[in-house]
Amino acid sequence: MPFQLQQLYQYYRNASHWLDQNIEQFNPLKDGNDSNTLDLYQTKALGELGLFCMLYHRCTEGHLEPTVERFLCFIYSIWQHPEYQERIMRRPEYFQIQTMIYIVLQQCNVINDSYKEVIQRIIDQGYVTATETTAMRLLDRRHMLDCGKFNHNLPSYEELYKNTLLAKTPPIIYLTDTDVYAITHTLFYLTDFGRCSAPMLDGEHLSMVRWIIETLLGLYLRRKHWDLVGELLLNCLCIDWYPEIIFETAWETLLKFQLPDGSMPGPRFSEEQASKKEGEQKIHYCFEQNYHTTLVCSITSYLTYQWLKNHNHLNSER
Amino acid sequence: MEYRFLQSEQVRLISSRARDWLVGLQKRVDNNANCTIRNAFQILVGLWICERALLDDKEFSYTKSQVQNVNQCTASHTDLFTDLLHADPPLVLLSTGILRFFNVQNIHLELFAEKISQLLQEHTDQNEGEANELFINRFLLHRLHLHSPLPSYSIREMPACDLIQADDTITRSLITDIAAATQYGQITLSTGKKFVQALHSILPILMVHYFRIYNLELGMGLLRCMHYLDLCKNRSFYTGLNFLITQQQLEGRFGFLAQEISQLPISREQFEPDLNIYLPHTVSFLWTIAEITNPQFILANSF
Repeated sequence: MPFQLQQLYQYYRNASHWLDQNIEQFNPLKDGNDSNTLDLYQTKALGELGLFCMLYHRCTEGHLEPTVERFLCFIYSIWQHPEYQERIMRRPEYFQIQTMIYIVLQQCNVINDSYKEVIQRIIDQGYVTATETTAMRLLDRRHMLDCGKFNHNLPSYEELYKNTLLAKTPPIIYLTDTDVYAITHTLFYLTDFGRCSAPMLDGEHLSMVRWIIETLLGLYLRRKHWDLVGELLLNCLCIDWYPEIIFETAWETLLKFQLPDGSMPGPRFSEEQASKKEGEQKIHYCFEQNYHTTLVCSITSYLTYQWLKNHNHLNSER
Repeated sequence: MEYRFLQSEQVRLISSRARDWLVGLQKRVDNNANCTIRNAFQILVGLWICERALLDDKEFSYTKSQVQNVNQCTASHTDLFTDLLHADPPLVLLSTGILRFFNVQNIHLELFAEKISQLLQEHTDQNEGEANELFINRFLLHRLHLHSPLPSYSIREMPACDLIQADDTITRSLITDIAAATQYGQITLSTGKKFVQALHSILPILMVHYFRIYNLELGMGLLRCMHYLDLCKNRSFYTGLNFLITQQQLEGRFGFLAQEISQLPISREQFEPDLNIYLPHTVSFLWTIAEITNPQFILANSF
């Protein structure tokens, strides 16, 4: 292996340190946040930070590092604001991103499930499961409701999967970035981020899916698109797939491209643009461009670190 | 005839369309001032691939007719040696071999081949890269009985993280190296196990990448290399091949290249898209399809 397991852990530490340093940027209730768009973008970011905590929590069975504890405390502090909690009832069009916070805190044992009844009420009204969206987003919706143990009337994973892009295995040559995000997310939800195996991914179809993920990983590694490289590496874990050469080359390259502050450059990040900005403006720019990629690579590095340790890939001759 | 990977009907349709287009071009170029001796050789090679490898046409009617055109063309050139050098020596040597197949000894081409042979025998390769670059010339000269048997060629190894980031120049060298080191798939690659593994994983990705950005030339070169390395069972191989055959236009030429052509900073007086762009692409397409689908066919070995 061209890198040490310890390097992977250090990479994770650096990335989570950057997230910790920028924690206030995740706050959707910040003073002067009068723009709905900005608020929504930060709510989404907060939900993703929550997802990071939830996956970490699952992996360590509740044994949390101080950094992750701080993230959860921060998310809890936002949740405690009544006007934030009430958004689930007041703005059901954003039900999913708001409810995510409740699920994360409940799953990580920060709060009990007393608010579940309120959320179930809005689900029972039928709006949040009836709105139109893509096949992958329907899987996302079902996955989230299942995570929170809510009752719902959504079709089975098998039924939802049939309509996704991945299930139809279109020619890889034509896939766009949006298509690839649809594929990576489909695998996240289908396997509960690698927690369970999906029965529809077997036999010939599974080997096709593995080839798609390996090839896309190579293509996006070539493009230095770290956001999708991180997601595709996480997909490898989801389907328990270790394409040795590409997997190791991807990690070797990711380790090299981590910025000195621990962040990973997002697809639209420009060093030149960043250097033209100063102070708060620069912090905002770097956060906006890099937070998602850093979060993805951070959780992927931690889960990969644990996965490699458990699977002993380091010492095995493959 | 038995073909691999494609239905016989598909192969016949692809090649008869391509041959029809080449024949149309053959007629058009007679009165075209922009037509070069290189174009005459390219048409010859294209027709040869169609009739020899794909249509299995024992009459070789159109190839024979192009042999006559090549003879006339070489007779009318004043500074032929320079023109032949500019026409690309491997193309000239291959054409010489095709002419010999029809028992035609074109004195100009034969002299050119002898001269190249002499130059190469006096030349010492500076490094592995140069040796691989010149491999195709030596291979063709050997087939023409103008060169001693070839030594084994090696491939320049590189780490996997460099291979995945290979730029166009490195990719081009890689294609040349693989063709030389495997002698067009006739011998197994003898290089470090780790690098072979890296090639097997990364070459298909590079091929898909070049087709995605519509660099057909490098995509086809990599697809042929996958064939030389016996990577035909890789799913990317089928993906690449299926993509490739959809890129033939209905009239037989290959590629949908109007966008690239419109961006070229050259006037239409000096430039004929069919001759300068579509002809080399179509020949390369036929070469790729022929070597992949016809297990007996290796272009450089075909005369």
